[in-house]
Amino acid sequence: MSLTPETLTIGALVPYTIAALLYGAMWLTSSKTLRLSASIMLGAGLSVNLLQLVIRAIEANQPPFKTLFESLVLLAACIAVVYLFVELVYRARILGLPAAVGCALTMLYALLRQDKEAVNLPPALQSGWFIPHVVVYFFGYAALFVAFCASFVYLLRPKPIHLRRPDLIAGEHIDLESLLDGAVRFGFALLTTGLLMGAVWAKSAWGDYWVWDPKETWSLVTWLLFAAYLHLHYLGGWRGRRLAVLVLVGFAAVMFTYLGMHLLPTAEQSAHVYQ
Amino acid sequence: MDENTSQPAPAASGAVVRKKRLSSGFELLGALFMLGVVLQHIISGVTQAQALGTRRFAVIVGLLAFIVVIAGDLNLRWRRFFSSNRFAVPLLFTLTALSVIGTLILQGQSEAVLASSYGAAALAVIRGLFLNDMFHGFGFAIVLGMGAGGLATVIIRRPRLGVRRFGSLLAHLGLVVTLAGACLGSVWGIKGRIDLHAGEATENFNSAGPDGHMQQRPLGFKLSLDEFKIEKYEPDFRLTVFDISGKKEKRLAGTDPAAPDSELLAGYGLKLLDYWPDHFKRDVVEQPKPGAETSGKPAAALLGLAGDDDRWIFDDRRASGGRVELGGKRLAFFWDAERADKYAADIAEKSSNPPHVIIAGKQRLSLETGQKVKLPGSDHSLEIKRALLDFVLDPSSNQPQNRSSRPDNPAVEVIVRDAAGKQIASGWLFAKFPDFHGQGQGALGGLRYEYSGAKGRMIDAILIGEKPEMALFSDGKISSRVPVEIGKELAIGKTKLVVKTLWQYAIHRVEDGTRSDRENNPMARVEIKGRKKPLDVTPQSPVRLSGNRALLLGPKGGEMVRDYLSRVSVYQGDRKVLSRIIEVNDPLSYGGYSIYQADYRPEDPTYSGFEVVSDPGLWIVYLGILLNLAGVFWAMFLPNILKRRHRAAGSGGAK
Repeated sequence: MSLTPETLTIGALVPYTIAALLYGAMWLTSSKTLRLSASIMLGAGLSVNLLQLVIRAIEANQPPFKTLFESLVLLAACIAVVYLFVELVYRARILGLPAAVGCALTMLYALLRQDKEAVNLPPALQSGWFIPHVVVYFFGYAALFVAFCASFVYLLRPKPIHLRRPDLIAGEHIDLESLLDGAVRFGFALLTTGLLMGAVWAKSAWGDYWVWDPKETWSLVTWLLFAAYLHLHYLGGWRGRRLAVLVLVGFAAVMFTYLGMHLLPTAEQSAHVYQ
Repeated sequence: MDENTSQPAPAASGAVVRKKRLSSGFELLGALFMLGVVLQHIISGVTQAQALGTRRFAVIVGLLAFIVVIAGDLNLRWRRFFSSNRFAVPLLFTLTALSVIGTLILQGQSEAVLASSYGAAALAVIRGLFLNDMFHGFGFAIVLGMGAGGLATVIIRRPRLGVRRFGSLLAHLGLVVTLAGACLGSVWGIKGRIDLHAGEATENFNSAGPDGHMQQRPLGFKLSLDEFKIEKYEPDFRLTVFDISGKKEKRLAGTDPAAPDSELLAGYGLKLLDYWPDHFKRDVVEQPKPGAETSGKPAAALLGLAGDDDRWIFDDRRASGGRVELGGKRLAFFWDAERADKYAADIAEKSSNPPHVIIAGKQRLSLETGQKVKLPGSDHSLEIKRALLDFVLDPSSNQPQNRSSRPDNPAVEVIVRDAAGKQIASGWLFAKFPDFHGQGQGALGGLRYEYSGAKGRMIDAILIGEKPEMALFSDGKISSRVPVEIGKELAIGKTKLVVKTLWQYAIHRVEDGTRSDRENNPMARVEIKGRKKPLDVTPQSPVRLSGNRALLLGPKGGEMVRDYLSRVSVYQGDRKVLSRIIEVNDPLSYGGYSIYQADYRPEDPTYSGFEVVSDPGLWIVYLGILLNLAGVFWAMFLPNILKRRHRAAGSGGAK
């Protein structure tokens, strides 16, 4: 079997799916071996995923971030990296199930939106800013996805979920709120960086920092929403459910910024809409 | 921001109080947005400007809002309000809402587009609130100006500095500085265009004045475009099926014709029979077997020219023999010496005559330009005033001109005079259009023009297969005869060629072939279900399939232009100051202007379009961006890092 884009996508999708099953199974059984195998499986998926990015970059001789498919592959890798980092730092696997499901669904969508070959880069994207702008943004998206997972789990938690071994999932002293907040702060810093890099890049490419292109405007919207989060949390004292709901709204805006631009009537001429 | 609210309030009562407090912020911002709308209506009424014409006042309105907030800060209560969440949170959500609306409603479009997109009621609301130019409207400017005022107030209040608060202050300061720089740029900045063709230079650029009309401004130096180059990606062609039923064609399936996915094609009733990346028609020539029927078979010669492909030339034994053009020389080929000689004599006769033949009734009059002849049967005389080989009317001057030196449309201007030498008629006669309007009427009646002159001059040599020899021509006559040896070089003027093969009889057919594997001139032959004959698809000729589908052979990846590069020089007076390449993402900064590569035209390959920008706020914006980034990273990460260190140090101490 040759390493076609399709093979590689499936090659990452399968371990991600297995990882999701293993992380899910943790909620039901008390097997200790599950703990490690789930993380290893997610790591395996990430390895294939990264390999796919590298192969594509070499084959096309350009950064593989142009098409929707390429961006989905990148996003899945970013989610896996950020989640594994969180697992390592917080010593908790409580977000393992939603994160692995996120990776698997992203790869599944990538499989459906497969483009058979790389698309040539137009002159405007051939810039030193292209890679940092996109990579920073996608790590930001991934961090906010982790925050979304944390909110999701947080909102479901008060309902009676039967946990055999809560400690196995939650780790030692996991504080979901602080995890959520950490992910948002990380994501917000990256959103800010990506946004400002984009403005500087636009200036050097077209002579304008900002032209109210719909994608620009929507990335401003997501930035404003998470800025509101910071004000409400750190100054307004918002905690708990309200804050989690705000994160869900903020993440919905992120997703719309990423995937919904073709739905906007104003985005026909935009350089940002994925084909 | 507000120290009083920085501690979490008791849950239940706090929520009610905060809701009330936040709602007052929303009310204030909503009212101010409406104030902006009213103001914009007044200004556009006073200045009689169109909706978009009031844009230039928006910055002033925003600045005013900013000043109002700063003035309000003189009062402690207002200062507290503007630096608190009661103002900040409604502001963030209002900006969010306005931004979202600005992406849902078409922006900056013409009235016609708006009218066709929205119903009357919706249109009235959109126009009434200037929602179709949201980001340049007064309402948005006021909200943004208030926001900048709020940011400044946070800095002015100088609250007790914690670690996180310092970062947050830095971030707020960065935003204010960025907005200030952007404001400066939009007031004193200049934006314009330069359009040049390669070889042209300019000392000016065009930019829109305050009234919206384009005006010329001096650059302060001379910019010359020395060269413009469009770099393209190596083409890699795909055979693609499109659905063309909708407004925009939709790609259904595509495959590489060099390695086709036949299953995929079969799904659309297609079968790829053959593919030539660099298609050309190839002559396949062989000799008939000994004893085989030879009647009707042409004679054939294979000619080689240094640095070029070998070429076959055939004599089908008709009067004019075979013709070929090689290395700029026109060559005729006859197998039989007798026919060749007859042809040569014919040419010699024609080229010894003057090139122009005027047919008057039954008489043929041969004459040169400027020569006068008597018209038979009358006392009128005729003169050819001038002759053009390829007549065309120059579109700008409407005067006759020679388009080329080939006799594609030979024409003569003739003058008819009476016995006294007085001009009684003149006009053009066209060899190829004897019935051209007006021609052959009046005194020019019955005159026709026949062009014969270039025939002899158009031959440089005749290859005679029987002998074999090459008869070289000059001035329409055979000047010398050179024996031909197969495989040995001979010269026609400066062109050297080799006769490689000479056959009296040949079997000739034409086959499709490819010159190379590079896709320079690709062609695919496709069998389509339900059609008898296979069809050839090339990039120039797509094939319409049934069911609103089309089959196209086009380069993959859509984007073909890799880069467009302008090599420019800057002159101060006559002195060349610098010379460099401008490309997308790499503007030229000189004399206070940045010059960006902005445009090219595929149909006009030497044209290059530049955008000229002068932005006095540039470095202020960059400074603001840096401050903001530093502040955000500080506030987001440093407090937690310090806390962790502190905790680690604490636990270390406990041990």
